[in-house]
Amino acid sequence: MRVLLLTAAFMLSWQAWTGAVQDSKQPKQISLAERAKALEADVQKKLESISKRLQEVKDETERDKLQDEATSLQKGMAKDLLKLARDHAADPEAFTVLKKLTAMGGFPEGQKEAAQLMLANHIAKAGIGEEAPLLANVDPELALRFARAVSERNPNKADQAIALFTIGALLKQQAIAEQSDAKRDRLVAEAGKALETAKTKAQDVKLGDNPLAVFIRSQLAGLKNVGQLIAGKPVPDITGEDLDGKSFKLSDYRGKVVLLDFWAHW
Amino acid sequence: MFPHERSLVKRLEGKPFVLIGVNGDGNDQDLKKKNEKEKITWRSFKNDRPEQGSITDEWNHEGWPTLFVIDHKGIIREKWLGSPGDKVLDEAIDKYVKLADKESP
Repeated sequence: MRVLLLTAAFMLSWQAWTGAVQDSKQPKQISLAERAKALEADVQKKLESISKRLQEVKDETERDKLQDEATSLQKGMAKDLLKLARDHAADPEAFTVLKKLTAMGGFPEGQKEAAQLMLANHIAKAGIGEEAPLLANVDPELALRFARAVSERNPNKADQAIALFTIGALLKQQAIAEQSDAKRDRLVAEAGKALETAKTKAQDVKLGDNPLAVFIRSQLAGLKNVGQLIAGKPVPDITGEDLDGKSFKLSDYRGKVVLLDFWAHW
Repeated sequence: MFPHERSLVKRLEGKPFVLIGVNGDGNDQDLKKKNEKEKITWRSFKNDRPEQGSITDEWNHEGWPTLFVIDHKGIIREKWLGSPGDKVLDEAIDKYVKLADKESP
């Protein structure tokens, strides 16, 4: 079911995008963007027909088969787009094609190559910053390299801010996984510096639908605790309210063994 | 998770032990009803705090549930992302409860 929904969502967003450009006139010299769009329009038609058949099909096996077909069409298209962008990597329009590829998801190898191509050819483009957090889940090491390059070589404040935020978040992740106290402290300090600098550039910058400042604040909030929330270390105190609205502290229970349970009904 | 926690609280009644929650349900109107239904009697912090920001942000939370065992002196002894299983949980808690009993009779 989840796969089905994802496929549907993918088709919809894509329809909106290709639909908007189908009326534009074809120049004699076919541009990279138009070649990409023609390629996509072709796959879109096929996907629409699969989508129709999916609505009618009742048999599970048949449905799985159609799902597989849709997935392989999407993968094939991603590969073709990647080849197009690779063959014309320095063309300014390749940037748009590459961004589409990384937004597609479910194609990590392609996403990595697209990021490499952007890194090598389009590092100063406006809008490249948001690629860094997208990449962080796919390949943290590449994401860090990517974000550092953007923060150093891109002139736009928004791109720098998002890149610095990504650097901070990734270094904090490394710090949490680090065993050595000295190395951990160094990573925390570096992460703090990146996040504080990101904060100074984050005004009016959004990441997805939310202000970047919110994400930065959330990353900064726990930074001081990275070296504390480890077996063998004194527990940081918590002050807050219980579910009835009464204030209390974790340290109220010193003297007892505490099982602290982060829980919810789901 | 809940049935075992209920029996844990019951089994260690009168011992130097307390179960404290950090609840992530937010402003769920039915939370009280749900807690009654599941017989959740232990005290919990509300994760969202209007002025300080969330506890999970401050604690670099990675996923639900996360469990910490903190000894009677306030030292973190165990941290698990996801339940480690009833047996492991019980053994760790019993070990530190015994220690607390011994050091402050």
